[in-house]
Amino acid sequence: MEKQLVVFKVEDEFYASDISVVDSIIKMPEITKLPHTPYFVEGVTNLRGTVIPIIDLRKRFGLSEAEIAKETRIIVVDMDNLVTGMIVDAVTEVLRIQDAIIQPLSPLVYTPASQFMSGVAKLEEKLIVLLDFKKVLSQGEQISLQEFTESL
Amino acid sequence: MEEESKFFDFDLEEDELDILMEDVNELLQDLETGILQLEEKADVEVIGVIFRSAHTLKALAGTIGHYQMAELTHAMENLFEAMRDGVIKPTAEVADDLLDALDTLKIQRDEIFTRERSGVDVDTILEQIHDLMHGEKKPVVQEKEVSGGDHPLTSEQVVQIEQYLQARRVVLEAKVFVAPNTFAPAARLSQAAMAAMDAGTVIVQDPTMDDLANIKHDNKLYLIVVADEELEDVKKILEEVVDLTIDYIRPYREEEIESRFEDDEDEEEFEDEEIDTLGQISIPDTEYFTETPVVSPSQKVVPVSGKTTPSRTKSKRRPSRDAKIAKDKTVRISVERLDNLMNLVGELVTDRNRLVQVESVLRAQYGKEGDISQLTEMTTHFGRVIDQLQEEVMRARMLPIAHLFDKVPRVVRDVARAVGKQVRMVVEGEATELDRSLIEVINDPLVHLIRNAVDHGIETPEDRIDSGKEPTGILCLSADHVEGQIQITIQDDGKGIDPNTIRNVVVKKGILTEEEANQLDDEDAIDFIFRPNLSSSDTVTEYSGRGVGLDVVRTSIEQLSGSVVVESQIGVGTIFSVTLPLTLAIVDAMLVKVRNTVYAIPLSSIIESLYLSEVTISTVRKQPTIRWRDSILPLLDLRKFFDHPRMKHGKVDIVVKPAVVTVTWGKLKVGLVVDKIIGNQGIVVKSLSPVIGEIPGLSGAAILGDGSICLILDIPGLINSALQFRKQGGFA
Repeated sequence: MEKQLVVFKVEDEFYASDISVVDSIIKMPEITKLPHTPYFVEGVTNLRGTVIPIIDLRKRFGLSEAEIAKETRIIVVDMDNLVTGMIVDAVTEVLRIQDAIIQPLSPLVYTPASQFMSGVAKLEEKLIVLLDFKKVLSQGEQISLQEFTESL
Repeated sequence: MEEESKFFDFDLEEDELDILMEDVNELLQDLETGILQLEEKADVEVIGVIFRSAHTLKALAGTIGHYQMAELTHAMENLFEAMRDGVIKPTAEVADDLLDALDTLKIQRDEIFTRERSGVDVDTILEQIHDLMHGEKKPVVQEKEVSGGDHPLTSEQVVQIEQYLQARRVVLEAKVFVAPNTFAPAARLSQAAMAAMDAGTVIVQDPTMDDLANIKHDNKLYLIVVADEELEDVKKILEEVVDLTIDYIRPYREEEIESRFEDDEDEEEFEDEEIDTLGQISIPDTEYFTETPVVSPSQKVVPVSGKTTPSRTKSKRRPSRDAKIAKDKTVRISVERLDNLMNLVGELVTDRNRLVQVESVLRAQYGKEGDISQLTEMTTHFGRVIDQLQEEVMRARMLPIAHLFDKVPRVVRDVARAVGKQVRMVVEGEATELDRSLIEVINDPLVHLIRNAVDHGIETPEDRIDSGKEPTGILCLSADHVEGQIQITIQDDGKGIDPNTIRNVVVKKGILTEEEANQLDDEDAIDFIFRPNLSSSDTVTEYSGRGVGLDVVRTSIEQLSGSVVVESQIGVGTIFSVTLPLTLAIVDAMLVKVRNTVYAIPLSSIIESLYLSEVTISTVRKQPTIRWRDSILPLLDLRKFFDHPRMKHGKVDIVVKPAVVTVTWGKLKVGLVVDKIIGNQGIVVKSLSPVIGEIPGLSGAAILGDGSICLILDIPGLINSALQFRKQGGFA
């Protein structure tokens, strides 16, 4: 089976998501900040008349903040009608790969995104980490709830 | 039957499902309402409605191929028929079985949706119904001789016959017999009775089928039949039965029919009078409902569903002609489509706001030049049309609250029977309309309050008698529009809530000191029943007379931008008042600025606003306050509340004119300090994504005319945070 992946960069690593969950890729819009939210929630923005939350993947992965650059993009993902924007450093390509080259996670390989990973694809020139945005979000919910109760 | 697979193979297209479900749900609701009414008054009309509902449901089930459902509805139909014929009396026991059957039907309805077999036990229910029809359980109707004539009739039968006569149906009475030495006389007579059933509706059959089979009879059969055909045809059918002799067959009391026809000119009025008579006759003076604790026999005719006023009674009970006409003029539309429409209107509202902005900029720039004045005119007109459009779409989304209230009698009945209470329901304002999305979400909190009222509010019959009340408690559920909002009240005439016992519990729980508790006025003390740590304790049930989960009720109502308050008087009763917005979709709001973020405050919760420079702030117990209308108003400085490192990004508007916006929720008031008041406008409420979770002080977001986002303030939440210090013993 063949898979289509959207490949993007966060810091120096290459990550990828199945294209089926990607709604669109947009440039940085104006973002309305939200108080009392987890640190990686950047705020909300107006995407074609809908208010969507924006998550900074750098912060989500526990990496250092970066200035918004020319290549900075937001990947808008739609999972079960939960539309969310993810800030990435750059979107590099759309790739077709064979399922077969995807390997399960080795416990020995550690990247900051380990907890959100679903596998690794080894290409000739680089290693691409397959992200599961569902995990990125669901654990986000947990954290926000946690912070919410703590803030009370 | 073939080996059953786990799934159904219904003859049903996906796109037909929604409409079918609507129909099925409506029929189930009609059945439920009718069955509950049976206990109060089993008149022809009520039985007719449930009979037709069961019949239609049977047809629907048959069409799609849900044969178990068809079988069950068929059995129910037969039972209703037997009831109509006076063979079976609608006791509480019968109603119980019917409600069981209804619950099974509901499961079967879900099966239509999931197409998966639920494994619901239909056979037991069918057996129950069968037992009712034929078994020993059958409650016997006490024959009450009303009419002289050839044969004694019950009052119900008389009424029934009169109804048919009015409808100009052919009502025949017949007497047939078989010779004593005939082979199997009972079988012949049964055959005759069945032949009569084929020819129409049998109202009276003496002896009944069961009696023919089981009891000695004198080989005679008396029948009153509402014939589908003419007398001669019926006669022919009867003649075909072997060994049967027809003593007579004739129109039922001919002279009666003639006198009826003279009244024809004023038919409508006449019918209505008949119904009133009917209501009275069908409830005999004798104790009719021997087993039901829910209803006392001496009570006036108020059905459980509580159609109280006569005018409503009539319109509800005579749906036939008007409803038919109305039906032709309505179109069923899916909720999804309405939601889409609403969203589109929402976008238009946003665009309108944007247009107004552009127009004012252009006008400022170019003055009243020709084209600009045209633009101004268009903008105004555009705005008006969109306002109207918005209102129409909102109205299309409105449903009468009856959709909610209709389900309540069943809940009341079940709870009342379970806890041994006698409760009479009174329902008012069923026609009050509110947004359908609200109807869905308000159901649970409302049911909770109603359960509580029956379970903890109303006393047992013994206790009530001891305190000099009627043994039957009254639960009044009403809805009304008040100041652009919906108010729903749940009122019981039970024992009330004692503020002193609440004070004791509050002290015992360590929430307040004894001194503080004693300072609370009664109202504030009673309001403590909405506290989570208080209501979750089982001792509260005992002390305060209220059950668990009132905190949950309050929270969910507040999430809908509503409020709930309680009033109570010991020994007299308790009133819960729930106030809700008409719709959640579009809100009139005041826009304010705090730092560089725009926030929206729903106008419905604003009392007034003043500039901070006009007031003097004083600190009372570490809390900043202002004097306001002879009282002290606590302040909540939003600049501090929403102070967050990241909120400082970007340039801050230098032109600030701090203001205090006084907001209210329930009985509480707080002044919110903001940097600047921008103005009022209608906003389309969008929820914040579940990804973000709940944010203290915020309830949602909206898109403004320039495409930017404003955050909507959660007033109950903010007031709660502002008053947090109350529990440490601050303000009273």
